[in-house]
Amino acid sequence: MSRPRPRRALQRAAGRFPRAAIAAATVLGRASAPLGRGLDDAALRRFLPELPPAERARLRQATWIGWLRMRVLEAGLNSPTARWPYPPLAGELDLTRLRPPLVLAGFHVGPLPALGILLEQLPGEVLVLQLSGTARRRLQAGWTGTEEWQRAAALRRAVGTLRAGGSVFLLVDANEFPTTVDVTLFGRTTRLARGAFALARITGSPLVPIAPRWRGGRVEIVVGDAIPPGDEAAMAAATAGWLERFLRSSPEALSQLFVNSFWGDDEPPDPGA
Amino acid sequence: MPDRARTAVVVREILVGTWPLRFDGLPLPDEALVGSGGLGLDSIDAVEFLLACEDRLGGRSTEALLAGGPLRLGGIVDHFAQA
Repeated sequence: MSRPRPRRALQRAAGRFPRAAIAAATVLGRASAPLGRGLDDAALRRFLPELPPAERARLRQATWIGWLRMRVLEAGLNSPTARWPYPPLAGELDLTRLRPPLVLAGFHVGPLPALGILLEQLPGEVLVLQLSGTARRRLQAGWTGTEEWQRAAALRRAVGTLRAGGSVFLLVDANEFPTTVDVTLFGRTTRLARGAFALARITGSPLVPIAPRWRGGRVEIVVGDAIPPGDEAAMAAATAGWLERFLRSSPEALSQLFVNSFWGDDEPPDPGA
Repeated sequence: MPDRARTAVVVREILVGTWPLRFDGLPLPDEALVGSGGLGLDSIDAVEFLLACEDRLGGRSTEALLAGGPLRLGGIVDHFAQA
């Protein structure tokens, strides 16, 4: 299916005028909101049953605008002409707390590629696993692959980076992996991929959860407190707690991808049923 | 150069010592895959096994070895025997 023409035009513009293109995506998102785009209403009800319908409708529109902006951001990142494709930053980025070696844990929430703003400014080597689009400039890209031996190869490479004093960014996915650890998230048991926690434990590196969120046309990078390396289940529980607090304070950062992986194959409870 | 037979013994000692309930008394042939369809180590277990081999047998990083495709026990022995 071909993409709608206005979005294609915005994605083309993103390579030359990234910030203007992101602003235009906001306008397009508002104009097209009556079409009912955005995160599935049933998903919002299941995650945040306490929200009144009007607030859910506003949130749905926000997720639609955020999704459009993210597509533009990705186009800018993939463009060879974009020197710095990121949107302006909301607030200060305090890098002094981030001293490598660190395991930086991300999630499928918010404008994920905007994490490159932080990753590109970290001191030392930064290995980015599994996050396409932000492996620019001085970042080292690593693909975790789908096979067991590929995941082992990526993990071994990450161990090398951390032992050499660098940092590693990787996504903490839910439910789809053979090596998982159980946590409670939004009141239900969820299986988080163990990779980030195992990496922190094996190398003795602190784990720092990070997530981006829109603040108007700007992006804020939210950086959690460092979680000391140790027991994987305890690290995972602390990470899940941080993620839930982040999403409750910024529900517009929920994405369909996150929702789908969060629920896995189970039929989620429907409070409206 | 390390003796291959000696290296093979050490690699198997590490495997059995780390997971005695899984591997003690089992045949561990060179051709056994480390992952599924063989020893059944998941990606994290496999890396911890290789790191233990690096610590015990010294020197050679296994990054390149892992990048070469599914691992067999004999491939690990060869890797460290050639160090």
